[in-house]
Amino acid sequence: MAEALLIINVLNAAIGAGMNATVAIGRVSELVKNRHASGGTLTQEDLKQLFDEGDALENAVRAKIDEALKDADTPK
Amino acid sequence: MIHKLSFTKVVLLALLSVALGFGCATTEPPKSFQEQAAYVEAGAQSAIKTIDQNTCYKYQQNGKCVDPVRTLHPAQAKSYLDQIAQARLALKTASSMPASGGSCLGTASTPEACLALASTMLGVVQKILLTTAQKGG
Repeated sequence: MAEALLIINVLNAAIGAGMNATVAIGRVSELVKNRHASGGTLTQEDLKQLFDEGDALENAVRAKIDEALKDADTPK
Repeated sequence: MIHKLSFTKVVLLALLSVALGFGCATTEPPKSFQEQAAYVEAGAQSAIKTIDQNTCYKYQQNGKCVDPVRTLHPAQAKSYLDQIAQARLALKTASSMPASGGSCLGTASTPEACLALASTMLGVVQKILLTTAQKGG
């Protein structure tokens, strides 16, 4: 039973990580392809937009983690 | 137990190999500096999402996570997120650095070397995240 759970956890984590990577990299690939199709390349502005999205994601996850840590420190 | 886990690892490795092969065959390799930086940023964002999906945000009275699939403790998650933040900082520094070079996380560098540093730092965290998932926390 424990083995089955471990295997499910590993597969779940691998699939989850793989899907995250596919979505994120796929989006950049699409952006690059579109820029190439119009005869250009990825601009500094495109990169800045990606960084802004990354900042928003990082801040949101950090806020959730900080909240969980605060809850863990609060005596029940 | 050992045989079963070894078989699982072999299957996982086979699946990863197929996925990597597929990815290499279908993804156009990055050319410009901005494109290389964008792919590293995409990797960083996917690592952040993986941390989010694996972090336990709520524990039961008995100390177990409400969602048993989430095996990452928030303190550990924070540490990994800090490492990714450092890698992203190097990445942003690299992308705005003049071609003649500048400071990358306190060390004199060129844009290419700073980008390589960011990529390496991110790779270290990604490897830890994968290992953590395989160990189940």
